[in-house]
Amino acid sequence: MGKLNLQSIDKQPSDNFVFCGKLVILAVYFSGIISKLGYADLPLISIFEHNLPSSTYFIIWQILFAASSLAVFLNWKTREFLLTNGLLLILAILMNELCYSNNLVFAACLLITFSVSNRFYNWVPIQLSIVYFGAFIDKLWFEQWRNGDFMTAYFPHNRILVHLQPIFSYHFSIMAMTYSTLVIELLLAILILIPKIRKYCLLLGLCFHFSTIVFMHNFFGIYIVAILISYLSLINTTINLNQELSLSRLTDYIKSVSAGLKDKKKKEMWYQFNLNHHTFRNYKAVFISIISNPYLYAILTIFLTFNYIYINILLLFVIIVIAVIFAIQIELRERKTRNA
Amino acid sequence: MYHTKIVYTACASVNGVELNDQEFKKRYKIPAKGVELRALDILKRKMTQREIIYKDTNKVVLRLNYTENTHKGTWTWEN
Repeated sequence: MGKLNLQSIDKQPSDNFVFCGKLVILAVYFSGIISKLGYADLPLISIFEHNLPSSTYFIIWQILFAASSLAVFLNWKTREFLLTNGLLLILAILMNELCYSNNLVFAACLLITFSVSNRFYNWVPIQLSIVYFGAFIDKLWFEQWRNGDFMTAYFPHNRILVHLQPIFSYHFSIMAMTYSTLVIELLLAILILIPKIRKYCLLLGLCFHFSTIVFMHNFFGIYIVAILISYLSLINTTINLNQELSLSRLTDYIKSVSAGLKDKKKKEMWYQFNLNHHTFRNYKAVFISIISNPYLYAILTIFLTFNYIYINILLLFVIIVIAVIFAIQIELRERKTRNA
Repeated sequence: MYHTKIVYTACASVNGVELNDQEFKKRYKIPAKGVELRALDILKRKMTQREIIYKDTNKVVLRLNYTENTHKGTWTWEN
């Protein structure tokens, strides 16, 4: 198994763009947005007007997208079909203006970017820079953003701001949030292009996006997931996550986990991680071995995009159970070593 | 690009007969009352494009009462 090197985030020894593209496809399906795509209710281009019934377009589009997605997941001409999926999403927007959303355009462009990126030519930072710079300019030119009206309308009685009032006035907090957003978006647009400091940029981006979730109580649909996937694609690793994401590997994982549960004496390798005296203490290695598992990313993608609360709870439960089993195993090993 | 918040109430009349909420949703595929998080022009276009693309002989009047962030406004359109 390769080594995940978080220190040199600016380098790209392994190419995980296809794997990240698969995650975007999962996000498109599990966010439920797929059910709205393919109709020709309000076409942006005239060739879709009055030709065929909207439902016929829907069926054709859905079959094409599903076939293309299947080809990607079967690792058959992945780059070409990632590009096809991205173009199909753009086509869906051109067929029906009502399904337009910035999130969907971003996801479509991300699929296209992944299809043309490789370890020598990585276009993801350029796309992210355009997105952040566009967001910055968009807000800077909009008077209601500059004068704090948007924040005032969005946070009329925000609890966090109310609690801060003894220290900062409401107006000050609103203006601070407005201008810090503008500054952060400009910084992200610039810093993401500089490989040497990209890791700090990703940390800043994560803090920024998660703070907007906390303040706005809003998950932004597939946008935040697409952003996280794009960040993941920028992390330097020698692990080929796409290669790890295969049915044979999955059955190997399940077999090793069940064998480990049945026979505690047996030293089993979990996620290709040898849990022995030297390694159980290395929690960083344990953490990295968990986060280098492609199935975790797949479950997280589904969890973050799925809009059905019971399934979300179930997925969260699965993630917690996996983490607890892993932690118990570590603890048992540690006690055994202490006793010995 | 998440830059605005528009709380709106839209109504439409076809040949002088006002559409109810269900009829409005069926015709324009958007709710008659709701929140739009994109530019105001996009909200207006969602309604007018339907009339421009699928132009019929009916007389259509569209009215939109909205609050964009803290600014209130109204907009009217007819074919």
